[in-house]
Amino acid sequence: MPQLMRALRVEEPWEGTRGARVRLSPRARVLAVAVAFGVVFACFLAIGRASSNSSAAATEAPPGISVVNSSAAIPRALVIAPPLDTGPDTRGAAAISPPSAPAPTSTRSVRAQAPVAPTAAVPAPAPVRRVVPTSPVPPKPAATPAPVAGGTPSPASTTPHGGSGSGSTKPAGAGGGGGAPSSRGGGSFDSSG
Amino acid sequence: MLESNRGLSTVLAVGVVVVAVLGYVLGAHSKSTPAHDRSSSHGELRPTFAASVLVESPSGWKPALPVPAVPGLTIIHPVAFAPLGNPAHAGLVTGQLQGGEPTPLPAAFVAQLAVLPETQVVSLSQTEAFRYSGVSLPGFLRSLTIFAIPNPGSNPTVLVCYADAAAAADMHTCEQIVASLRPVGQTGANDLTPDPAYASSVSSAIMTLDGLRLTLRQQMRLGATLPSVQRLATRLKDGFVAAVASLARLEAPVAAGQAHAALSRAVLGARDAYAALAAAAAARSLARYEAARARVYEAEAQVDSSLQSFALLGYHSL
Repeated sequence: MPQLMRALRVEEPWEGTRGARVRLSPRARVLAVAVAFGVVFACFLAIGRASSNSSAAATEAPPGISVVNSSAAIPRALVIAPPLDTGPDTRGAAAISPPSAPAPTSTRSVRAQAPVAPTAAVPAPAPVRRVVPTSPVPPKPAATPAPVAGGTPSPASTTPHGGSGSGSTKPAGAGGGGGAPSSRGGGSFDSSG
Repeated sequence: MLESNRGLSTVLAVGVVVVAVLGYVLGAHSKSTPAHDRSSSHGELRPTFAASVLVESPSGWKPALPVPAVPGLTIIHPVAFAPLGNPAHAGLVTGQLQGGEPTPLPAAFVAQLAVLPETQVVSLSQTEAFRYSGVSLPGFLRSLTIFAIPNPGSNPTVLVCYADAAAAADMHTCEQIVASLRPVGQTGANDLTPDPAYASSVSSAIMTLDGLRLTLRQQMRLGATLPSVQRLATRLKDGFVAAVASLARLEAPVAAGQAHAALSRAVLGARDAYAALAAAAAARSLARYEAARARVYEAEAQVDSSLQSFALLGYHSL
């Protein structure tokens, strides 16, 4: 203790003064500065390590692996197109011939659910209705989600069954034109030739 | 005296700043030192031959048995390394994948992923590789990063890094082991970088096709009479023919060769499907129409799948 006191040159307080006055020797001052520098260095070393560690995102390539940048881009899929109808209208043409293995039903009305391509997304379910006289429902290929069959078994019926959405606009006009949309409500097809 | 103290204070302040900056820089640098210098926690690096590659692994990483299985990823001649030889929490599995697919990752494996992984072309010490990060496998509750190196005329080399959430540091070490990879008996890959010119040409062909397809499919839906279906399907078929011709004129980069061929095949399939649809409408056969319609969906899904392959080759999405 006396040696430490000597090194630090701690002087006893004078009578009537407040607290002790510590006067450091030059060697002690250098020592204190070195310790302070060491503490600062250690603190910032730790901060540097921590910040470097936290900034490394999981998807970033680690050091030693350099990422090759490229701006090359290709579409990932075809655009979503309206689904194909479950059976073309027969306007302006002869009726579709039935498959070789006829089913009991002679009329098919297909309701609202739009067929969905196996992987490509299809927009909101659209009312798709087909009336195919004398055409039994053939078995659907497994890969294609089959629309749900149902509805009124009336050959003359052209009433759409439910549904709404992008397919709600129905075609009008006869013949094999380009399918101009009709503003008429109800979504039925003309049966005129 | 006052000036002397002020000068001393200035020197000390500058000294503190210098020491602080030095400490910060050294701290940050110690985390970004290459694998060769980062082995202190696991011992010295040592070269290890595994499958068809040579890697430098820390001595703390040892061969591990049994080799962990990655669901859906069949690795030929797998070899595993793990910290202390225990593959339970983290490790590296390397070997070869079955080749002949549009991308190094098998289609069956990709099919079970909820989302496509982030794909990067990375440069390792002596070869380039595809790096697939953020691989999310159902039922596989570990971080998973896959490196794949295509080998022309041979099976792709694969290196799989995995780690539990609590073993993130081991994941880092694993990737640094991969960084040291050197192909043995193979040339490696040095041309994996996506080609912007090629991508632009493919995109142009697909977007032209898509514009026509969207227009005609809308018309086909709105005016789906037999004659119109026949006419529109024929025009769509012609659109796919034009796309095939555009693709045939392109010279695909080596890395995208298989994907390009797959895309061409898929577009050809769609062309045939629309031809079948037109024929069914002409024949007025509902059964044939239904079959052709399903075929169109399948063919277009195949085109989508082929286009998706390019994402796994480092091509961005448009």
